[in-house]
Amino acid sequence: MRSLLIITLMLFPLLILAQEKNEAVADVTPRPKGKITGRVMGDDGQPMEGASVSVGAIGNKSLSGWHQVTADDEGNFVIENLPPTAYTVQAGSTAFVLPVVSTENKYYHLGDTVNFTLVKGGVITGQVTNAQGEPVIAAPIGIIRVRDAEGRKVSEQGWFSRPRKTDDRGMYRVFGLPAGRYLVLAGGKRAYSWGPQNSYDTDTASYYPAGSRDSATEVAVSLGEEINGINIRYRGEKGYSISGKVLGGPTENLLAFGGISVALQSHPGHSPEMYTFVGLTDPTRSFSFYGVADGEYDLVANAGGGWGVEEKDSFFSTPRRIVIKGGSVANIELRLSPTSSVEGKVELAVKQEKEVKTECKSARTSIPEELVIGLRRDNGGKDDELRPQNEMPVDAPNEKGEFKLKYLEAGHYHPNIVLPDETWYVKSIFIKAPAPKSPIEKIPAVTDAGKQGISLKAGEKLKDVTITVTDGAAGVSGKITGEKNQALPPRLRVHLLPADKEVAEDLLRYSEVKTKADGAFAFTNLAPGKYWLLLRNVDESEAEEKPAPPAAWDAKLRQQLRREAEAANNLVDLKACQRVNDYVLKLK
Amino acid sequence: MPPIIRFFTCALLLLSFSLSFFVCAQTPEKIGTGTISGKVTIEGKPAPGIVILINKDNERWEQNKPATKATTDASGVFKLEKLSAAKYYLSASAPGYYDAKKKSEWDSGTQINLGEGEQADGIDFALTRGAVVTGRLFDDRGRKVIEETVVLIKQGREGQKKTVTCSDTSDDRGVFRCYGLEPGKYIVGAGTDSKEGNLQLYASTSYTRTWYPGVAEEEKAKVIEVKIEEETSGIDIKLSHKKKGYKVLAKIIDANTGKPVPNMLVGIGTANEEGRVTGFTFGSGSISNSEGEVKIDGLTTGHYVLVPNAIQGGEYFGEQVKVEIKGEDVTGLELKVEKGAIISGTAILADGVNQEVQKKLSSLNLIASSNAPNSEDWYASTNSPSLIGAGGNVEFKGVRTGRVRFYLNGKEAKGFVVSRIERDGAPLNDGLEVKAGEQVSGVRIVLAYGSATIRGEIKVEGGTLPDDVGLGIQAKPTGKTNENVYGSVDNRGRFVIEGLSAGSYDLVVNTYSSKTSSSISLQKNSKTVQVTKGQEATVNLTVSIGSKDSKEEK
Repeated sequence: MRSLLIITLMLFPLLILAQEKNEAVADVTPRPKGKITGRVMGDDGQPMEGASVSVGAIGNKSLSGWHQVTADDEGNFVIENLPPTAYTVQAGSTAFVLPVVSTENKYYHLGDTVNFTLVKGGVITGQVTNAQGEPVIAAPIGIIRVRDAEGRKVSEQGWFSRPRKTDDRGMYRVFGLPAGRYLVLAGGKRAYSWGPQNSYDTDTASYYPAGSRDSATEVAVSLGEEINGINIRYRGEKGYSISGKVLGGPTENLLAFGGISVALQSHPGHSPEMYTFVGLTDPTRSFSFYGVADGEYDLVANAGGGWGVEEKDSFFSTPRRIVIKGGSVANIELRLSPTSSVEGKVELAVKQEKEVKTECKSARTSIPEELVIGLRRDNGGKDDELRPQNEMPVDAPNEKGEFKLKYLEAGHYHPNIVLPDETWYVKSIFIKAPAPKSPIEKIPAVTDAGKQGISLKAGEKLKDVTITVTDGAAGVSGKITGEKNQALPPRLRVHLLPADKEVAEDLLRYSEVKTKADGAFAFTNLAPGKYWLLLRNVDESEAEEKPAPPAAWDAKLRQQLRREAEAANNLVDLKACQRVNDYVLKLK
Repeated sequence: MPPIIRFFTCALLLLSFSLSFFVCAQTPEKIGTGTISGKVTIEGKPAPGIVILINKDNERWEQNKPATKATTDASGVFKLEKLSAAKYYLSASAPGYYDAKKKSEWDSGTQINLGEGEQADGIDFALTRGAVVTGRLFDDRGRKVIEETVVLIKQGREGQKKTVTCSDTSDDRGVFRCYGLEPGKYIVGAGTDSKEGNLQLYASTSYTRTWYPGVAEEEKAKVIEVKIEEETSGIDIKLSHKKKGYKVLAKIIDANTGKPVPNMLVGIGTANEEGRVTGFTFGSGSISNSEGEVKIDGLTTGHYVLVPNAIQGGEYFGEQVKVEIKGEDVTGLELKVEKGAIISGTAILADGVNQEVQKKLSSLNLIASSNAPNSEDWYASTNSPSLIGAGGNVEFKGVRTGRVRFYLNGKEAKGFVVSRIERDGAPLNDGLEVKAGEQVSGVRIVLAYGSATIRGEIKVEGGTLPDDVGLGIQAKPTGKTNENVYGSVDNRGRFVIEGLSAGSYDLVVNTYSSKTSSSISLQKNSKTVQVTKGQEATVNLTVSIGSKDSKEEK
């Protein structure tokens, strides 16, 4: 996923400039600035000179929030003068990828050193010919990653390669592919096929080897591998059009927030098929797609929402299901509704430095601005997400502890908080309801978001969320061991459940992690207390890159987990600041 | 990359497009009775299965909109039927082949001014199988250079040059393959042209422009000659990493209050040492954030001007600021802006309300345009748009001090003219003078809609026009000082002038040259024509070529 970002940044190098936005400057003495350094190497041990490195401040606190530098001739990079907050650091170089596709965002802080090893991606080549066997020249080639290296289905959303075309011999070469299985297609008007009009833009895509998407054959490729002979018979079938208009949304100044865009996504899967835009000066706000093949799609309109855009200007339309079967569709209306937001404050309830016991001392001095606050969508197991988890908005608190998550669609969410310090844990998350309107309602209602999560209506601007973070966090790590010579299953998950009945419904006390290949696992940032550890297999259908929602979210599953955990009785009693480092969990 | 951000990036990409083209909705296709036909040949032989792309005038710039297509039959013939009267553009989509008439891959092709029921035959395309140039790109350490754009410059006669972009970027082996090239002499290069003063805001490459076989200077590049159907290989180019570009960090502040001003689009121009602007773009994508900050990155040493400009509906304007980059980033730059004049009033149609015309009008922007004091500083003029609201209400913000001119903009703008301006009932014959910060109300802009068309054919006698010389035509309202209406003439001499109000016009034919500024004088080149509302007048003109203009200029 990182390589994607890099690709996109290179495609639209100057757009980053406009994405940045300042938060209000607080009247607090500025915190000292710092740097992030690192190195980008190739898997051959050679420095990757010229590799691009992007460092992004969470919450994009200022214009200096986004940095793009290139690695020097030793592969080193340094980005200085950074304000203290959490950062994402990404590296990429054309045709090279990170060895593992990860959908989990990793956060870094000032003083961190981030090293990358890039591997040459896979290559797929072939020839495109028509029914007469003649080469099809200058046809756009598309590629869709459908499975990971282990053959498990991946969320197709968000993967695209830089567009390539066939040459005068009909030959094509697609490179820089992460390991996995792909569908390869020729012709049609793909999501990013900008360029002059051509002969193929009203055709539907022809998938390898010779047909529609349903009859497509997946092509497996490993890192550094070159797969040849993926020849496509071009069918040249005419596609249909989808047209309509966008209703609602901003009343003026389309240019100020980047206009209205409409995405055509495949259904299910939400893989982006095509994009189009409503003309900035078109009062009818109409849109059209051409060259659409038979199939099921979702249409989503979107206005604003870029990082440089004021919240009032951000709108989504609910996905509109379109079925194309042998004809064009017109007069589709997409209604924009305003996006929702969640605003609140982080309260850091920690002891003074001198009061801290030795065993509770932290290895680093952390500040609340380094927290990453996000939400995970809880859609009850349905596969209807508009965007994967790593693309959900996140924010870091400002010097006053305030944060704001913008650009959210209506739905149910759970807080997802990444702490910078292992001595901290999230004690509670409460939402204070607005002050009572009448004297009869005396006490303002308080919602325990730690238990119930956060429900947002379309356009709702939720305020007064208080996240209390405190110190004295405990941790437990260990290893799974089997019987003698017993091989560990490839994918295991360790669940951590509170053993105390009083907190049995507090979702903040639940945690789950996948074990590493050697069976190692670790839980950090835990509230002191008694916990059960429970080992479970990961469901075979679960994509590595798209983890299942935490089991504890579902009340029934939670009860089941508790019954299993109680029966297994792997109990650990964690005192404040205690680290249990060698817990052995037996495989049964 | 979040979908939202993806949306946004695309939207911004669109932004850079829409600064030059207005993108609009399609109108239902009218079915006509005209036809266009022709033959496609490859090296003189009929070419079957070639796709011809046809676009109507403005539609060719509509984003995402594919062209109408026709395919040649076994004898290389294509025919398009049921065409309504319109301006069409035709091109043969035959990658791998070369069409001598096509100027670039973005060239819309041959223009045809088709009349109702007209049969335009003989619209032929003569294609040549193009040549191929291949090679490898590598850097000074011998590593492959991937996804780098290769450019070729064709060396024509008399020093004429034509730049061609290679068919695709270099692949993961550093290999590039350019095909469909016109036979001739070329130089081949890759990397960013980082000559001083060259705006490279869009450059994504990290290499300095190098010409085959490995020289920085264009003059020293080795010229290669490519021939029909021949493949010239081994054009390997060694590139060196580019020096870091510099950035300008600026803050946009209100000159009066000192407060930051968001949503200002900063345009950037290159200047020579005397400060004369040599190139300018608003497509830098640099829009000030809520703190008024903007960043423009990737600049080479040299002189620049920055102009803060309000985006649609903004109330500020700014003066240009000169910046010199001397080998380090420029930070702490302040761009002061002030509130422009606000002009309010009404815009009405002189001829009364016709529903169809009113609908067209409601899709247009009326623009209040005010130039910078120095007319050379065209980039510092303000162009404040306003939609025409219910009752004709208009409001223009951010108008700079000066004389204001009004015009209509939009896909349906054809035919609309500003016939006069009044303020508080009194006519303003010399335009409207405004001052920054002033509130000007009671302005009445009277519009007229012309629906008449003059169509016809221009015959040239007394010789033939050289290849580089084309014909132009304009309609001057007889005895009036109103603005002239320009028409277009296709290669066949068919012309059309649209959007004329009823009245009498003097048609004037002239010539222009794509090569030189010299012109060829024409005799008997004018004719007076009467048109009535909504009608089409057909006029044929015969002009004779006189002696070459004696006041020929270089």
